Amino acid sequence: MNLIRHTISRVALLLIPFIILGSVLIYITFRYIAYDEIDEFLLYEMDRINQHYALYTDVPDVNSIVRTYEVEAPFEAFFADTLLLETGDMEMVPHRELHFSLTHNERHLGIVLHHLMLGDDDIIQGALLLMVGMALLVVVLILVGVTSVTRTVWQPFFSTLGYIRRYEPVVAPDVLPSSTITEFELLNGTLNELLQRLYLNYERTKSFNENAAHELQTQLALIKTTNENLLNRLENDEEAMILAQKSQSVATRASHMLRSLLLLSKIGNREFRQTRPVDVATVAESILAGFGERIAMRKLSVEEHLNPVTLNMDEGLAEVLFTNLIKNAVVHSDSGSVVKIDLTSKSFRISNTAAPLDEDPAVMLQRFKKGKKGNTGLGLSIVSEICTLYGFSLRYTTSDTTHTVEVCFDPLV
Amino acid sequence: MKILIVEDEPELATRIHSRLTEDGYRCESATLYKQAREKIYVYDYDLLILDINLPDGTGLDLIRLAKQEKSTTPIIVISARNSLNQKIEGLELGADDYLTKPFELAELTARVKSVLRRWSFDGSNQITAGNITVDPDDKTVTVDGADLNLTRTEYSLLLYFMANPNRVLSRDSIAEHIWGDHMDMADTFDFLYTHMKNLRKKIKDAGGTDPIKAVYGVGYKLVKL
Repeated sequence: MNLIRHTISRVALLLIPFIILGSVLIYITFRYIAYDEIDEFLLYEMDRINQHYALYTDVPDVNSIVRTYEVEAPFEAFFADTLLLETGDMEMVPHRELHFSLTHNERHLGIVLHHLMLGDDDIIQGALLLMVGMALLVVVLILVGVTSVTRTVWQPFFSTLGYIRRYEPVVAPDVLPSSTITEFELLNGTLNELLQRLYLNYERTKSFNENAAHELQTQLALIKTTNENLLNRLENDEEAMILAQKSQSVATRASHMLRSLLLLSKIGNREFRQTRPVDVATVAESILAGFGERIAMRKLSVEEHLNPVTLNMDEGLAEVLFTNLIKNAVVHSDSGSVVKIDLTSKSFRISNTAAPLDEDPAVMLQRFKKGKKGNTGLGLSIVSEICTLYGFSLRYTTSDTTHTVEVCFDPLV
Repeated sequence: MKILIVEDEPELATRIHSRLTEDGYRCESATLYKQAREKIYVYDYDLLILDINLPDGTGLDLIRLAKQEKSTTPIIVISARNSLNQKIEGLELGADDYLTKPFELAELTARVKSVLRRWSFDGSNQITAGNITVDPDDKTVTVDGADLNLTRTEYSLLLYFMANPNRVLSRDSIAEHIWGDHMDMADTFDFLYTHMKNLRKKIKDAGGTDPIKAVYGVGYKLVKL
């Protein structure tokens, strides 16, 4: 539901108590006016009768006099409400009565004037009709008015919204225009600042990734070449050679870890934006072929069911994703066991047999969560980051010694 | 053979320079894009080793320039960026090989020899060590003229040792050469040991003199007589 429709719906809801309260107020007003007018009319009739009597000493023939009666003493005029039978439609109809006294030949007469009144039901009906009619008019006015005004008044807002939805921080952002409307001016000003910061953050992180890779890997290259030279100069010193070899191993591990961390940083910074259709079955086949020697030496058998599936993603990341999944299964499988791979249009599932986990399998997707075999603990977190990037869901489940990692391409599955 | 090394880290450039000079190549170095551009314009080289990241330019532009000037000069790109796109771009521009930092000098030496062999159209590319002869063009190995049947990994191992004779090669270096990024797998060194054992046994069984010596706790060395 868009903003305007939502606003109109909320306003329409607010109209309900407005109609109820308004109807009550109109009812009270109508009733008050009706009483006031009838009472005024009856008092006027009473004055007319009194004036006529003063001039002619008889009571005029007035339709509103319904009856007279004798009383012992004169009394103050008073009003009363009564119901009278309307013989036409045999219905009791409300009437207003004015009782007053007149002294004639030392006799005191009570005279009763009456006037037909509007019934409460009529007033309520009128009040409701009026309010509903008004409310309908207001809704129509809001619908037509707000919709047409929105197109022009809210245009800068929708324009800004469209721009920020399309914006990718790989290029410097355009400056969002100024507006004469305070709120839009504030919004665009704030967004200009945020988008600029977003772009600078992207650029800084990208630059950091590149510089860290270049500077640190170059220094690691220096360490490795130094170790290499040492190995060849210390040939007669076995202990020193072993130390140089250990130093070489550490440098190699550090380099691999740095590469993985920088890859995670680049994925997190959304630097992989070139997507193309990737034939997953072909990629998986090629990776499996690459691990063929390992699979054979560990006496693993692979049961693969690879259906043709095409995913739109970065080619390099696709290779990293499926390599890490297959590598993980091959590395951790018990020797002589079976690795099962199922690729369907919905998911890629790989299962292997290994020792049961001591903890929640989901923990293994966290960074630096090392397994028992001394790996860097980054392979599955890279898989997890790639899945997040492309909206895939990732599940790692275990059942006794069976470990299953599944990537669902359709997150709803 | 004359090689131009373009690397912005002077110390690393010196190491590469020394290693390739030891192997009999004549080397020149440039640490800046401008220096490298001038050298490529003025001199002829048999091989260019180019770093992509230079303070005043990119090695990718140097590949374009080199291919315009002397299209037959082979090029090896070295870069710290492990980016598939950049690798593809470098190779599409005409580079012959791509090496990611941090590399080992033994690996670079092997790549240099491999690239130069591919571009060498005169004479035989055969490499010998004792009575073992490797023909990289046909990917065949003979011991005293008799064929030696090796697996792909055993062949790669032998070629790596042949490219780095009389040098100690660490287990890490050998594993990284064979398995690349997957050398961090748990049982890598067990597999390496098995492959080395099989290779040496096959050479001995074929009547060859095993030129590979184990260096305790470190790795192996091919002793070229």
